[in-house]
Amino acid sequence: MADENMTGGEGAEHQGWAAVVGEFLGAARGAGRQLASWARSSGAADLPFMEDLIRVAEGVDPEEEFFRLTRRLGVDWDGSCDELRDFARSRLTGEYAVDEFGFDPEFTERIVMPLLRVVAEKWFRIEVRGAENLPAEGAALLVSNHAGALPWDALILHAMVHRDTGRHIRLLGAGLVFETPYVHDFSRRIGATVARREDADALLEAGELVSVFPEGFKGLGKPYGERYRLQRFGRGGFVSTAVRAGAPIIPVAIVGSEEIYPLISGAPTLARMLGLPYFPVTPFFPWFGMLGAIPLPVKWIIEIGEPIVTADLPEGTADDPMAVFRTTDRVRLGIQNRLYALLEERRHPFWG
Amino acid sequence: MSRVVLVTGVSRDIAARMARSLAGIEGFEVVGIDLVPPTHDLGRARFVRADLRSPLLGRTLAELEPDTVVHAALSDDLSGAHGKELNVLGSMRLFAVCQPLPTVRHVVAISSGEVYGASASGPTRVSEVSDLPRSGRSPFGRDAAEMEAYLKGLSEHRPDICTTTLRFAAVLGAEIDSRLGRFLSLPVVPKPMGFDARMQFLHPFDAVDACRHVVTGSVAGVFNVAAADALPLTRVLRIMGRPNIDVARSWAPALIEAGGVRRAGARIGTGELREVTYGRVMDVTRLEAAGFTAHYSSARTVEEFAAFGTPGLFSAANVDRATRAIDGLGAAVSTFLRRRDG
Repeated sequence: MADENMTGGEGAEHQGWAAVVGEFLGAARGAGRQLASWARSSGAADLPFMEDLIRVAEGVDPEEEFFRLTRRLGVDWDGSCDELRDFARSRLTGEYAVDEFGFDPEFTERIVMPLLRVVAEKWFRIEVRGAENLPAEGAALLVSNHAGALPWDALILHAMVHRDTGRHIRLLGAGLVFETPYVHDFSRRIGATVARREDADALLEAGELVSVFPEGFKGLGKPYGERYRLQRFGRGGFVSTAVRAGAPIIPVAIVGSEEIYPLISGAPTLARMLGLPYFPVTPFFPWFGMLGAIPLPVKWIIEIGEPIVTADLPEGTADDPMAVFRTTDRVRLGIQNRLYALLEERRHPFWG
Repeated sequence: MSRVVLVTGVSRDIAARMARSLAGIEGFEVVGIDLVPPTHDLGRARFVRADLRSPLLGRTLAELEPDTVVHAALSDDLSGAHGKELNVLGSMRLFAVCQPLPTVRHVVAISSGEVYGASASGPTRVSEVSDLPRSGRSPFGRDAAEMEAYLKGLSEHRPDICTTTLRFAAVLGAEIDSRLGRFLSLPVVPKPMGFDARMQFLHPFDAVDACRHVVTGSVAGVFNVAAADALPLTRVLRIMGRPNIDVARSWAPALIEAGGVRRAGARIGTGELREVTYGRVMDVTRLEAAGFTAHYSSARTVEEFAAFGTPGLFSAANVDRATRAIDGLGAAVSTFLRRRDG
């Protein structure tokens, strides 16, 4: 220990402090080992990254463990520095481009997608089914269930579709998203835009993959007890949009997102005071601060369904409320049935 | 007989350029009017001193017998009651005077995209059919909208007159003195925290050309005039070589007042703040269908503006230094790793 080397005049004073620090470190290390051995015996080492985290907690060689972890994550230090240099340069000189919606492909592909992929593959151990139903080109409207307090499902779906097809998803988000500082910026940069008729039409016309979560905040803010029970699908505006553009509707069922934050309450009074649609209260948030905002490592399954062709629907369907309702219900029921089927297949929320 | 074209506001650069350009056309006789004599070259155009708000304006116009009136006198640089009087009352008087004049066949009004205001939940690309908001506009946007309303009144009373409204995006050019241009040229630019506005610009060359296009072709209607592309405010600032300081939106006006930004001539009120918080992109397909496409992109316009201004902190030399530092860091990490591994 360091305090053994302390000699000389100032030694006595330093020794007092060093002893306190040493004691604290010793206690922390002891607790770490205790946690590690408990984690090993409980079998948690099989969970993603747990092995690495346990090794760090055991505290044999933290530096070695850090580089081990980065190697496992596939960090290439030389390449990363080159990339960082190029990226910093393009950001500092303004040599990058965004489209009129504020979508920044360079930022999305270099920073957001790799991070989300790690989260999806290692933390949520995601399984994507039916990726072949995604068109290689041309417009399509992805319709999905929405849950989990924070829109992780939208981000993960974007990352997975990008991984499997190389295409970006253009999200349609609620107005509140775009009125919130930083959230506005981030959303626009990754290609999201306001869920408005004009914007949806423009994106589909340009042949983009557009995703929409018709449950909106009703879905995100629903309590844990109502998980996987789809909320009302708005007024079916997404159906008329797809019909107008002649784009196919692709139903997507996401299993896993509904358990990442087990919502106890939406704290309606507090939410009203803060001007939010709900305030997420989970067993961990807000009690544990930002730690409580870490999503639980639930096993995810994304199933991309077969496209519903809208191009050959009779003319005027977009303005016929009954036809729009029929299609909306068909899409909603389809997603609901797939969710139940996938849930039966997945026996345990964490181990799958 | 030559066609008499009247251009208002020629003591300002952009109107002077329009007068000069129109005067170069065969068979056009261009008369520029303003309260103060122009400092810019008007070319073959003639200058007549006139106050748009004066009761004498009617007699001046009757003598000139204009065929076309280009109203380019609206200025975003005037603030408060004075600006409103010049912008709104000047426009009102001008159109009122035009109404009984039998010679007038075409009235072109240079308006601004600020009539649409700027908001978080508005459409990403505003088109001419979009509804104009009732609130949340900059004072200049409000003035421009009122001016447009008077022009609409004129076309209702005189359906034989062809009326054109051009809603310009922010004009940014080397010799154009504009509020936004001065804001972007500050050494450190205060940016609303957490928002990166989508900005769209119009090169002065395209502004003049669009005006020329509608005057020569007698194109009627309301048109957005802008470069087709848009870029975020931070990218504009990087091209300008300017660092930005993020300030909370609610504090921004007070900070800007206190920080002497006002003295630098970049006045920012809550309406203007919305402009640089959310930004706006205009749809230009209608003008393209009418036969005019902007030559310069927004990015090119900003690059040119930056090239003529003083270089900022993030100049090319400084950026080179920064990237070399990152390279050095990379080299250090790989040397360290190599030494560890063997």
